[in-house]
Amino acid sequence: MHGHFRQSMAWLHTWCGLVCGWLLCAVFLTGTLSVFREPITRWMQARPVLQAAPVGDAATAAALAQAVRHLGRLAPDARFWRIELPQQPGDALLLAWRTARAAGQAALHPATGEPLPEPWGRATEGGRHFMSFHYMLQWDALGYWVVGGVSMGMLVALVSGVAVHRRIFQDFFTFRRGKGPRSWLDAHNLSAVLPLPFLFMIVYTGLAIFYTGYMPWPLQAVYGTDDAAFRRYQAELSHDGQAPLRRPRTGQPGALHDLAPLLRQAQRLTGQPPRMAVVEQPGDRNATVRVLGPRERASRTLRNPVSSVAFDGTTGAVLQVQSPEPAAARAGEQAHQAMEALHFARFGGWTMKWLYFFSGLLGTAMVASGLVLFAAKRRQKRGDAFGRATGAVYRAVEALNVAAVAGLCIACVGFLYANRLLPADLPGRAAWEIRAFLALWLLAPLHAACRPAERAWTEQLGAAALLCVALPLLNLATTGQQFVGYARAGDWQRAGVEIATVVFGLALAFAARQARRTRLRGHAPVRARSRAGAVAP
Amino acid sequence: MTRGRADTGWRHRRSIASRVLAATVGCYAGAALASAALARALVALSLVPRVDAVLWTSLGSFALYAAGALAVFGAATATRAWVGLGCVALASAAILVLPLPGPG
Repeated sequence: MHGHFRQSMAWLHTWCGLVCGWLLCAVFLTGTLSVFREPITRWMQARPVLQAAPVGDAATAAALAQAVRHLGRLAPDARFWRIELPQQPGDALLLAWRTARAAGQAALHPATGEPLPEPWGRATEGGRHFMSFHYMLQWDALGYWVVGGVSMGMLVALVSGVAVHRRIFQDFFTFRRGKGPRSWLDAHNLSAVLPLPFLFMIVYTGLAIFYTGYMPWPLQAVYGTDDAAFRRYQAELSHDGQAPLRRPRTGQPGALHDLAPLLRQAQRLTGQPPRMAVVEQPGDRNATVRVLGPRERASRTLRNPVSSVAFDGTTGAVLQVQSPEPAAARAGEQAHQAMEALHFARFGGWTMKWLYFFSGLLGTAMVASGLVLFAAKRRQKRGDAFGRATGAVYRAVEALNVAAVAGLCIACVGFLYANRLLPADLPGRAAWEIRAFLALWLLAPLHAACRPAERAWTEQLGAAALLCVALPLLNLATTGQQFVGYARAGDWQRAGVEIATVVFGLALAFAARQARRTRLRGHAPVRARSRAGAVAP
Repeated sequence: MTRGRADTGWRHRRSIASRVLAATVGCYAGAALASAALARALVALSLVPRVDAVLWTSLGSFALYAAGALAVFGAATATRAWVGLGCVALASAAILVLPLPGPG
């Protein structure tokens, strides 16, 4: 009985891992990249560095007044104006607005308030693309359910993987090099066992934070199935918190209070430097000014609500204060918020982000090595799991493996290339960047299917490596910027994106060289000598 | 799963297809029904406020789903897996249709 259980778990682990693995690779790597989505967005926007530009609320009162005048001229009947304060040296004061018909944006010099040339930087989805792809594959509701499905598959593969495992502790220290499938098994074990708690946490929180979408049935069973059920639930859930502030438009004009003193007051009330000011119903007597604190900050708690202060836009009176200290929520809601914070790495600052990044890379390596292990084993002993079609099926598996691992890397770095190569004033360029990513990702399996598997590995890994290593050159050629310049200006976020890409490219180049050696050494497919043997798990 | 004797043919394939269906669609339905029934039961017995009942059972439902999928593949035969799933679903459905203090 015990033998049967272990064997069936091994079978489940193998096939569930294989079927879900191709997409899991993409979900894992893009999720890992979205840890640094903001630096990636900064890099992709490629905004010039402004000289003598102050940071934060040091943006002068004059510049803020200029911003309000500018917005009043461009969008007097807007639903809201948003003024983003510079967060790093060299940043501009960014304005955005939305009217009933359209949305717009502009950039001002934070010291003088002078309008900067348009468009200020490149229109791009930036790192947010990796995040949307991570949970929806840029495929709307269908992608959301597909990602949910493969996440469930990953959870099942993790549990069954642990169940078939005999020697968790030894595997920490076991790596047998150059031994074909044995080495891949060791690599798979190592990359799974080291970050195992992280892997369980990330896949479970990834599913659970979307419980109202993936598993709405308990809610419907208790609150009913009518349209208002979800709203009733939400209202009860946040009954401890403050009711959202609603101040409808009166139709009577009102002059907007000076913003600079409101920003200073918000900082005094919350202890957090203001990140942006949002003016709702500008020009109306009922205008509201909302000053928001930083999204990320160094803190010792898991839950870190964004602080905000709402002011009456005409009198400057304080209407509502949202403290940066987490309010005492009910236990269930705390658990959900903690799961969100855990999944989004919204705590612990940059150290935690790097830890998530490396754990995510290990997770990607676990999926990738599992896929390669499957192919390597069957190359050694083919078996006949699919009857006469066995050869063709394993051939397709190999092609998909190449595309899922190496092709994905090409697509990710190709996204950055599309960003620099598409003209800055191309209409809808943000969407074209995403199309380039998807095209590369979908072309990769075609290429892999046309080439012998081992050549496809070398070629796609080599192409990805070349693209990664050459990224600073591309940047220099297209924008005149590169990482040395960023680092000198103190912009380590953008410098970091480029340096990390180059390091990643070197690792890929090493992998491509290894793949080439393996091919030349004649690890050519060993013809299955025995057809009687059952397929090893 | 275990490929004993000569069952490499259609019988083996049918068993696998049946288990895959049970583990995907069947277990989702099972987990959905079980967590909904559990939430309803917790509320009916006034063990926790209804907000918390929904949250805890929803957050836990994914573990139920995974456990179900593993059990389906661990079961001796596909038929047994379906019978087990059916029992869970029937029991949950019974709790759900009972006239308990529910939506409102």
